[in-house]
Amino acid sequence: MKSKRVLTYLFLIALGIIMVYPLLFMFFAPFKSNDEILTSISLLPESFSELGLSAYINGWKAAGDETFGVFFKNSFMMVVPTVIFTVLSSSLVAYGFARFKFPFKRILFTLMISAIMLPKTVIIIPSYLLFKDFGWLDTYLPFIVPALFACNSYFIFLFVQFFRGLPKELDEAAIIDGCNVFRVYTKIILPLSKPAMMSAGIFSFIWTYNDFFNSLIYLNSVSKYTVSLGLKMSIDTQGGTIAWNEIMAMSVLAIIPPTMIFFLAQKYFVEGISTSGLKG
Amino acid sequence: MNKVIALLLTMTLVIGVFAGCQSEKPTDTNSNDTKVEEKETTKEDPKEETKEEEAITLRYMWWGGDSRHEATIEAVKKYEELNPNINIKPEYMGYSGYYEKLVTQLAGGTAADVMQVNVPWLIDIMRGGDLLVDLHNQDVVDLQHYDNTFLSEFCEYDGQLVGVPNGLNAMCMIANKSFFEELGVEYDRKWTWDELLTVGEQIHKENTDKYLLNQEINQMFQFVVKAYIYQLTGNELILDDKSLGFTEEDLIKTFDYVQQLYAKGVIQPANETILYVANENPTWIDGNIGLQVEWPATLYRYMYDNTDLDIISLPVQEDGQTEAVVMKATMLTSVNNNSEHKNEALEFLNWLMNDQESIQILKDVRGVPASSNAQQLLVESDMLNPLMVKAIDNGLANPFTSESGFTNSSDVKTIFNEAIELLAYNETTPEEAAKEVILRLNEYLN
Repeated sequence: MKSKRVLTYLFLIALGIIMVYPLLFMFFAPFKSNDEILTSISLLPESFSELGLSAYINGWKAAGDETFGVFFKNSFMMVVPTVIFTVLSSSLVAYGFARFKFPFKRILFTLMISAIMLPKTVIIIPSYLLFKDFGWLDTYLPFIVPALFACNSYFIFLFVQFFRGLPKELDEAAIIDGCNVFRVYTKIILPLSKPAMMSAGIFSFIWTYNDFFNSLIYLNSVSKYTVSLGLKMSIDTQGGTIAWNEIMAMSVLAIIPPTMIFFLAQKYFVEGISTSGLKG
Repeated sequence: MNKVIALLLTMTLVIGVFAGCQSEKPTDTNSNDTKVEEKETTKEDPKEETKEEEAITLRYMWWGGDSRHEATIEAVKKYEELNPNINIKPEYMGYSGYYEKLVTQLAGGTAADVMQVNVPWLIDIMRGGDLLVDLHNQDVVDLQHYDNTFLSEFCEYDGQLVGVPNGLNAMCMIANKSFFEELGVEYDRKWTWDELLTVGEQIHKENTDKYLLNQEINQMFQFVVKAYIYQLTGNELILDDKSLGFTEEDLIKTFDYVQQLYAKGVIQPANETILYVANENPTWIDGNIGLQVEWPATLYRYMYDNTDLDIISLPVQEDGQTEAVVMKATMLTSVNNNSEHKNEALEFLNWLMNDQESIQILKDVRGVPASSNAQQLLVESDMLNPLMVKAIDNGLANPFTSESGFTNSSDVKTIFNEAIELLAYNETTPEEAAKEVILRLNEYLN
C-alpha cells in the first residue's frame, strides 16, 4: 500500500517536471546567447553575469519609439473593459435564456449555440469591413463593443448552465418579497454566480490578452500595439537575426498578469455549485 | 406593461448605439477617418487639392527585425525633417501575419500608402485588380540605376512594374570554412551536384556526426529541386503558357537525386531536420555541417560562434543546359493604387530608394540594394558585407533565369513539397513521385 503511494508520487513528480520544464527554460533563457538557447536544453545558463539583465533592458525598449511599457498599458486598456463587459453582458443574456419563456426561445438559443461552432476565420473579413465602415479600425472598439453585446456565445452558454443549477425557489421567494425581475438578477443570481463569473472573467482575460491575429488585423499604429503584437514584432523569419533572449525576457514579463489573475481567482475557479440559502 | 417598457428601453439603446456610431465625427487618430474627411473636403472644394501647405499623412508598412525597424524609422524621420508638410506613419511588425494583414487591408481598401511586398505574393495580390501603382506610368520614381532586365524579369506582373526592388538576391551556397578546414576538404571551387553526393557520402561515412549539406525539408523545393531542374532544362518550372518546363525524365532524375541526398547521408535524416528551421539547426550551430544553399540576404542568420562563413557559387550540372543562377528581388516596395496621395507616396518612395542619405541610413537592411548607384555608394563607404556582394556578383555574371507567375504559386510549392517529403522518408520511388506531381500540376494549371 505504502510503496504504491510512493510510486504514484514519483510518477506525478516526474510528470510535473516534464510539464513545467519549458516554462523554467523560458525563465533562464534571457541570460543565454542565441547559440546557447538553440543548441543546449540545460536549464542553467553558462554564466548569469555575462549578459546580466541586458536582455530585459533591450527587450523592454523594443524596436522603434515605443517601449513595452506602452504595450502593457495598451493590453490593459483593451482587456479590462472587454472582460468586465463580457461578464456582465453574457450573464444578463444567460439570465434571459435560463429563467424566462419568450417566443422563438428555442430557435434563438440554437442560433446562439451554433455561433460557437463558427470558425473565427470565416467571419474575419465581413467583420473587418463592418468595423471599417464604423471607423473603428486602429482602436480597441472591435474588441470592446462585441463584448458589450455578449458576442461570445461560449460565455453565455457557461452562464446558462450555471443558472440552471440555481434553485428557482430563490427567485420565487425574492419576487414574493417584492423584487422585480431585474433585482432578482442583481441581488440573487449574480451574488450566487461568483464561480461562473470568475471562470468567464479568467477565460476572457486570457483569450483577449493572448489574441494575436485579431489585434494584428485591427491595429495599425505601433503606439496602439498590445503585448502579443509587441512580442512578435521583431521576429522576421525572412532574414536578419532574431534576439531570442530579448523575446524570452519579454515573454517572462508577459505571462505575469495572466498567471497572477489565475492564482488570485483560483479558489472560485474550483468551487462547486453552491446551494447556499437553501437550508432545510 | 413592464414588458412594453423593457422593449422600448432596449430599442432606444440599440438605436442610440448605432446613431452614436454614425454621428461620431472623425477623430484625428484614425487614418481611415481622416481619409473620409479629406474626401469630403475635396468634394466641396476641388481647388484645395493643389494647396502645398496642407499637412499630409502617409502610411508606410513593412515587416522586419530590429535592425530593419530601427534603420527605416531613422530614414522616415529624416524625410519628415526634409519635408515638414509630410507626416509619415510607420506601421511595422514581424513577418508572421503580415501577409494576412496585407491581403485583408487590400480587400478592405485600407492598405497603407507605401508598403513592402514579397514577390511571390504578387500573383495572389494582383488577381484582385490593379491594387498597386504601375511604375511604368509615372515619372516621379527614378529607375535609371536599376537593371532593366532585372525589373522586367522580377518585379513585373502582367507587364506592370508594381514595385521597386529593395534588394538583390542570387542563389548561392553559404559555406562554413572551419568545417572544411577541419576535414581538409577544398570547398572554395565550383561544385557539381554529383560531387556534393560523392563528397557528402564520404564525409558522413568517416564522421557519423557530420553532414555536408544543411537543408530543411521545406527548402528542398526552392534550393535543390528548382535549381536542379533549371540547370537541367534551362526553363522555368512552369512556362508562361501554363505548360510544364520539364519532361518526366527530368523530374525522375531530379527526384532520384533528392532521394540519394538523404539515403547517402549527405543531408541529415529528415526526421531530425524537421524540428528546426535551417539556421537554428543545432548541428549547424555546432559547426558540424558544411554547406547551405540559400539566398545571401539571410547570411547573418547563419552566423554563430562555431561558424566562419564564406559564400561560394551554386553547384552546376555537368551536362546541363545552363549554369544560370536564379535571382530574385528580396522584396518590393510598392505604392497603393487607391492612395489619396499617390504623388507624395511616389516621391517618398523615390527618396527612399535613390537619395544618398536614405541609402546610407538603410544600408543593407533589405539585402544588397538593387540599384547600382546605391551599391556603389555603400561599397565605397564600406557599408556592405563583402560576402553578400560576392554572391550578387556571381549571380550577375551568369545570365539569370526568372521565377515568375505560376512557378511562384503556393499551390505548386505544396504539390512538390508533398512529393519531396515522401521521397525523404523513402515512402515512394522517384518514378511514382514524378508521375503524381505531373498529374497534379496539370490538374491545377488547367
